[in-house]
Amino acid sequence: MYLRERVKMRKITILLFLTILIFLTSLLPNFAHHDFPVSKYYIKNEIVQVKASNIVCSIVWDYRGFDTLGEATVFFTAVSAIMALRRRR
Amino acid sequence: MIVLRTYVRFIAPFVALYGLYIATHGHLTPGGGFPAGIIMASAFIYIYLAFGKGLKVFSEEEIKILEGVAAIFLAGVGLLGAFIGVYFFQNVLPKGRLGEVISAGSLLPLNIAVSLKVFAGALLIVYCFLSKR
Repeated sequence: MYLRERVKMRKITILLFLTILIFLTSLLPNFAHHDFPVSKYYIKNEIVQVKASNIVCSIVWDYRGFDTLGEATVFFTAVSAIMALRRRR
Repeated sequence: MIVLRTYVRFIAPFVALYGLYIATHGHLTPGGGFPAGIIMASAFIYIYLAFGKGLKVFSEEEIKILEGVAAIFLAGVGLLGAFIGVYFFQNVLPKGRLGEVISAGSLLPLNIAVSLKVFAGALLIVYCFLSKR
């Protein structure tokens, strides 16, 4: 009885999150119709501000350096998880 | 086995050199720290796969130390921006001329640091999965 209710609740929760996700996806701009001001800003000012000919690299390490530190931390976490898994054996 | 070992002996230095090139030219050409680290690690993975345990170029302890040092270097360059400039990961180092290797401020040291870190991590994962216990 209790288990059945829990399964029901779980299904309702999944449906709710799916609805929210689909709604939020519909708010995204159309494919190939991106018109973000931030991308125009990067293309216009990168060559003066950072002076790197690889714009992607300058966005990754200059404008969004903190995000990339998090990315490196994710990789570090994966490595330490694998090390920990092996130690258990 | 002989074919594999001869091929690895021929190709591994070039792969490592190509990884170094991708790391040091990350801000000029397509690429960057992450793929460069994987390419550099793949050279040593070739050697490990072809020659077995007898020819680990780096031991596991050295790799662990390298990963820690690279992480500290990475965070240190970020903190340099916080101390000299205003915010974390600010590009405070002098920016040279466009298109030169030593230019674009802190992008070059950051690329090298993250390539070393990914190199150490990928190699450590392979050592973990392939070493028998």
